[in-house]
Amino acid sequence: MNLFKRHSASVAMPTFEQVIATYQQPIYWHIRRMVVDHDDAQDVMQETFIKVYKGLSSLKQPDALKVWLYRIATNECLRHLDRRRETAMSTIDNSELLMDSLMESNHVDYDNEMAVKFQQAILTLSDQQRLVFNLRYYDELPYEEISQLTGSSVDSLKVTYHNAKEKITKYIMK
Amino acid sequence: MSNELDKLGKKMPFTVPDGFFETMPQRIGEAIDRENRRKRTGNIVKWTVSTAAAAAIIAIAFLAMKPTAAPVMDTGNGTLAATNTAAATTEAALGDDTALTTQDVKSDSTELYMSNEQLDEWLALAECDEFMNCVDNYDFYN
Repeated sequence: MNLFKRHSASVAMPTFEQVIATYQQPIYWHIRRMVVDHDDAQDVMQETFIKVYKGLSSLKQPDALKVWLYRIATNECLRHLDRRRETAMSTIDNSELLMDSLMESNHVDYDNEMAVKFQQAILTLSDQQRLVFNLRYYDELPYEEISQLTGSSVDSLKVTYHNAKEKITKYIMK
Repeated sequence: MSNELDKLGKKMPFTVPDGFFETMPQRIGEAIDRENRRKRTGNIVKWTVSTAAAAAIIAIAFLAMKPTAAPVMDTGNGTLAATNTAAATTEAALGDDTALTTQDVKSDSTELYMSNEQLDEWLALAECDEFMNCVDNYDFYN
């Protein structure tokens, strides 16, 4: 049963347990694609759901739940990436750090070379481009929802997504 | 361009440990418990520090406002020493500037409690000091 049907005013707010059951996987994969490392993703996931637990009772519209969850997860990811950048040498940017995580992880299937190369291509994008690309390509969120989530206009998101796709394709083709 | 991405599909090279998603609700529950415990401990520390600070402020205010016994000169040096001790205590509690003011007030009020004989004696001593200064500064060779 889909607990989170959109545009349905009669939908009751799901319990915290229901939120975890429904969203743990999509939220985990969203976080994982952003922070790459499994252990980091697990930490960010826990921080995200602690915030969800604290704020769920104050969320009045069940329709807004999905975007709200993704926004919390995204904020936690970006915070984590900022912290990581601060603790690492300042000359190294996030792309390099994430690329290292991708190539040194115990939880990556290196036999799937094409998928690894695809992720490497995605990691060449900026955090903002990567966020928009992942939300649109993997999570298939409509631009309107991504707009609510990021605060960017739909037109700007379309341009960002288009540029990201071009950059990824070039990387793969070379 | 889109065809290239279509060929790749949505497969990712990422994997998770066996049973990861099955145990995730439990781990999230434990993380929330830890957070609640941490918050409770933080609240206890905050409450303790606030109470200690409030107690210290009350104690300082009490020391500052406590009326000291009226100094009496009748017993001589002993009483003067007591006055100085009270001034020193006030100085420690309120800081140098306030303590000086308090001490000055006490010196003034000390004169009010002198007997007439003592006051005369005190004035005589003061005049004597003044005289000695005059003698020191006097040019005897003129």
